[in-house]
Amino acid sequence: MARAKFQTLTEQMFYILLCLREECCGMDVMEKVASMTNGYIQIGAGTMYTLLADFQKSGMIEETAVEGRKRSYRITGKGRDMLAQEYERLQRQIKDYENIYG
Amino acid sequence: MKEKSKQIRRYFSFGYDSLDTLKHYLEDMAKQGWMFVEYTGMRLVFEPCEARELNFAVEIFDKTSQYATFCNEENLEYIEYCEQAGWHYISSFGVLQFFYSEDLELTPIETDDRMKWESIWKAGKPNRFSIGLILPLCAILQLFTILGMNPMGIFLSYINFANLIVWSALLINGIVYWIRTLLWRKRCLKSIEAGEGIIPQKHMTARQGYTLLAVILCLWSGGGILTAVITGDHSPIMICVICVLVVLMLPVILWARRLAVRLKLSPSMNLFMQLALGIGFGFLLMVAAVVMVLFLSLWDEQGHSEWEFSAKEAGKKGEVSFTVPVDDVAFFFDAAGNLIEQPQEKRARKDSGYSTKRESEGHFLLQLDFSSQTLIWNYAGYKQEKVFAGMFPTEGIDVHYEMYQSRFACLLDLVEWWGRKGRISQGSLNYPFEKAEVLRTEETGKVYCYYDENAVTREEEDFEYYQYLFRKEHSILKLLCSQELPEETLEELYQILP
Repeated sequence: MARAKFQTLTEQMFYILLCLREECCGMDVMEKVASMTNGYIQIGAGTMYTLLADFQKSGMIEETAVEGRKRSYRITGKGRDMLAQEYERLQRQIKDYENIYG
Repeated sequence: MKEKSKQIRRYFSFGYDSLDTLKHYLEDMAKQGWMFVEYTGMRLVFEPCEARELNFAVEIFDKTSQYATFCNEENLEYIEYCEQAGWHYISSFGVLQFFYSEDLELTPIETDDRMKWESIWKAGKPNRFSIGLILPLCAILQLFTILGMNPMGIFLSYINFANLIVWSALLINGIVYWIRTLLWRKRCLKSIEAGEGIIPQKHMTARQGYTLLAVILCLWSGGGILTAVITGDHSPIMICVICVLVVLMLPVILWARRLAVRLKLSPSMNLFMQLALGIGFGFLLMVAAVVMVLFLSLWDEQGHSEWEFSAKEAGKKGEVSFTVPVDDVAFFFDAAGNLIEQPQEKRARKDSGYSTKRESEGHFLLQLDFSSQTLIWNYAGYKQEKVFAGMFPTEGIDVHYEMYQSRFACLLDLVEWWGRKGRISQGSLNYPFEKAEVLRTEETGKVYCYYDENAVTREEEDFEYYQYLFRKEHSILKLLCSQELPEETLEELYQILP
């Protein structure tokens, strides 16, 4: 049920897709996310492995290179749409907050 | 090469729903100088190490099989991811993956509680299927068979009684399992929603679990031996064979698992081997039970008191006998139904053709004895075989009986109640209490008589058929006679009953 799973993105999913704008492997994504968020978002190796496999299955990322067991990925058009959709959702939430407390 | 003698093995009870509890146990062992090296499916193996604080991770990798005997490519890839993140791989057991790190603050392998919970829930499917569905279904089927067809059987036979307890316990266990699982699921989802992580499910400790199993098996088989000693019915000893086989089954299945790992069998072959072993053991159990039943029936045969009656003599004298199983007292009637003096040595000749013999349905909390219902009549050169009673040469009388005895009067009340309701026919008392005439009423009991001239009809001749019922505190005797019995005979019979 990949579609139902990715109707909205968790923080970890969001940052993984964000990092995959450029081709990189799972370990690189983990490091990038940690540095991008100043360690606020940590992604475990197991979670990363599972999410990459699920993203690939649902067509949001694609495999670009394989070296031994090291696989590199990049975001697809569908993945970018998903990111944009999530961005709009977050914007709406921010706007709603500002309307009330802003 | 690892020195096996220095290894220690520990039982630790855990499930996929309590992996955090296992993680803390491994950390405690490391603090005590024991490093976890392997899980065998039953026990955890440790080797001596420098006592130190370590960070363990016990994870579920759901892209492999629970019956995997080696790591597939995806699993190796997963392990590599974890190792690159700073986790040291220790070992795997099916979907279970064990890692450790010296960095106590290292990012956990699974950082998404929702995803972790989903893999735990998925991994628990086989358990929910077997403990929560298959076993309770088998229990319902068994209970329906035991209670639905012959509820009195549970008081007559220890095996039936023990079966009732065991299958009821399995059914209750299944219900409790579902309640616990669903409540845990609800609490977990709530906790994950609140960002508080997964709550480990509580399990009894390994020691508690094995003690409970040992107590159940001891009670089960001990009860069988005790019943066999007290009642003289040896068939409950069969339970001991089953208990021994059940105890042997666990190490055999684990041994099969180790063999599958050594042979690097595929998950499907491993599952097939375990299933084949299970079915094989079930078959062995059945064979052992059949052999035991045969052996015990031969054993019981030697001590079985059987009274047979000569048809030739019956033809001449018009006598019939039956034995009340109270101190094996034998009664002999003449053709008019009067009791006649007979020495107990008067046992039948086996070649006499016609015989009545005492049989038993069971000896446990309740005892049921009855006369044989198969009649082989070889009288004056005329041979025929009939099933069921009521047929006897016209010059003699026919007597058949059912006798219920119990130390517990309430069980006989139950037998009578069932008899009055007439809902159950198999193995229970069937007597028309409502239509019967009460011949005697005493403080200790009653004697009923029911007579229906059309009760038994044969093509050529009608037989009179008297149904007497003696109801006393510890016994019920139902007597079927082809002739009316005199008052003195009834008196004597009544007095001898407990």
